Amino acid sequence: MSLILKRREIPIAIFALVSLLLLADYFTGAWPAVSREIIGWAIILWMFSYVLGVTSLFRYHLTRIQKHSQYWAYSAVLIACVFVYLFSGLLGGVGGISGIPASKAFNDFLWLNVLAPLQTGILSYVGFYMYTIFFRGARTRSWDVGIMMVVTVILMLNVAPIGVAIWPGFGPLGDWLNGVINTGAYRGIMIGVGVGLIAVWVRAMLGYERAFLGELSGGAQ
Amino acid sequence: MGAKVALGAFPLADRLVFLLFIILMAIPILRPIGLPIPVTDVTRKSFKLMDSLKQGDVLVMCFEQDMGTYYSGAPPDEAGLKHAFLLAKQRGVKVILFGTSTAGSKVYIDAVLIDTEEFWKPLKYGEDWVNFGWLPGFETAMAGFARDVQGTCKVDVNGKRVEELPMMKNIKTLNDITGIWYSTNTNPDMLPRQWSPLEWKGLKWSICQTLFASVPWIMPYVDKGSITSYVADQRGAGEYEMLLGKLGMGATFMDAQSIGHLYGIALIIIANIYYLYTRATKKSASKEK
Repeated sequence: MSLILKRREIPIAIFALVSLLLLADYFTGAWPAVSREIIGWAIILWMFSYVLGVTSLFRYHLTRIQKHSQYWAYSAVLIACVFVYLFSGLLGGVGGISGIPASKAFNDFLWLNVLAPLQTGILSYVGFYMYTIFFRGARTRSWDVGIMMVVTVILMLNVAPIGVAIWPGFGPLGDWLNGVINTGAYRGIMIGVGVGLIAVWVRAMLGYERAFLGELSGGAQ
Repeated sequence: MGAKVALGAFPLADRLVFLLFIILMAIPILRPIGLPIPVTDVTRKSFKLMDSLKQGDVLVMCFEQDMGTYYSGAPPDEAGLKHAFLLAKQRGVKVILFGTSTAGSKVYIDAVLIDTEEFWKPLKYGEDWVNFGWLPGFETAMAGFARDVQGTCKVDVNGKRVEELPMMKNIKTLNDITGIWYSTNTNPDMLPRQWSPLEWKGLKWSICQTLFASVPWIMPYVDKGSITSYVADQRGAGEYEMLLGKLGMGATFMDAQSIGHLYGIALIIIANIYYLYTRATKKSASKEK
């Protein structure tokens, strides 16, 4: 019995059946109730992925703490933060069950006034690097680099209101670069991605793509 | 404990570039210059779409954002939300809010709601607007919402069941929604894939609020009508605020953006003059040899 359940044909068959049902419903609208049900299951499964994520996070960092690996104290801080945030949230009330207002306020404070500014701050750091690149990396060494520089300057002036104030032509010129040149390139990328996705789907249905089964993908065997 | 990275690790020139950058950014934020913000056709189109909502129309505002780009994404969302609440008050438009990312629901909705309190305070929760918080599942949640609104949004952010919210009574599928404001800084593909006005006949339009860098990404969809219009970044926010007549974060950041971009261009020019000069000097030196 257990050998039958371990056969990889079973999950591949489930994948093929579910994806074909959803696809058929998408194009024909023949089984709306079935597709609704499947999507409902997918949402529930998605929630379990968080449990899986937290479990691996704990396993990895608790091992680091236990072994006193390099920078293990950071792992301890991370675990402490997870618990503080989790319990302040749970005590603050979940799913309509009212909890301790102070705990909810503390949880909101952590999110809005600690986590959000920290993440925004980290990304803002990119701004400093960009200006270093302007200063150190923006060297017109060849014609193609020169074209890139000119386009960069036009788009920078197109986005900022001062560009149009300097010369109204930066508006339509930047819009043309974005709407025609860039969009054309993106269209090509998107078609490529779409074709690639169809190929991966067909490979997965035929059992050649097995990454979702926890195996390394390989060719036909 | 860890390797120390001090500011002194950077060359002096870089430190000066950083310092000047901070000063140039701070000045217009602390003391706005008030540069004119020309309104582009696409933002005007988005504004008109929102403004076309009538009594009983339903607007969905979905936030799939992440916190890192808060100052790019929140200004347009704030402007859109102000407009939505004004329409709810003046014309009886129904507004549904939710996020498909945790940050989208927690930071974007919660923080923007704090900033727009005067706009939603006069409205009746449950009758004029609702907030479903976070719907887990990203694209799956979007697909679920389109096919079964009540099954996907079972409880609101306060734990109230959807059956207890009067405005949700007749909203069953995406065909019962008039317009969508979808805010994303990650993958805009999900909007046309799941909520296309071409597929859902009841849905009249969709607006994608995204980063300026993502505009070429969504343009093929806009060309074909899978996305009706878009509002891009802080610039779009500034323009939207001008049209709405309620200035906010977008207009404030516009001056800083103008100065920041001019500073960037100045650095590119200086760097290239220096590069060409050193190259010419090296060439003449090698010729002399």
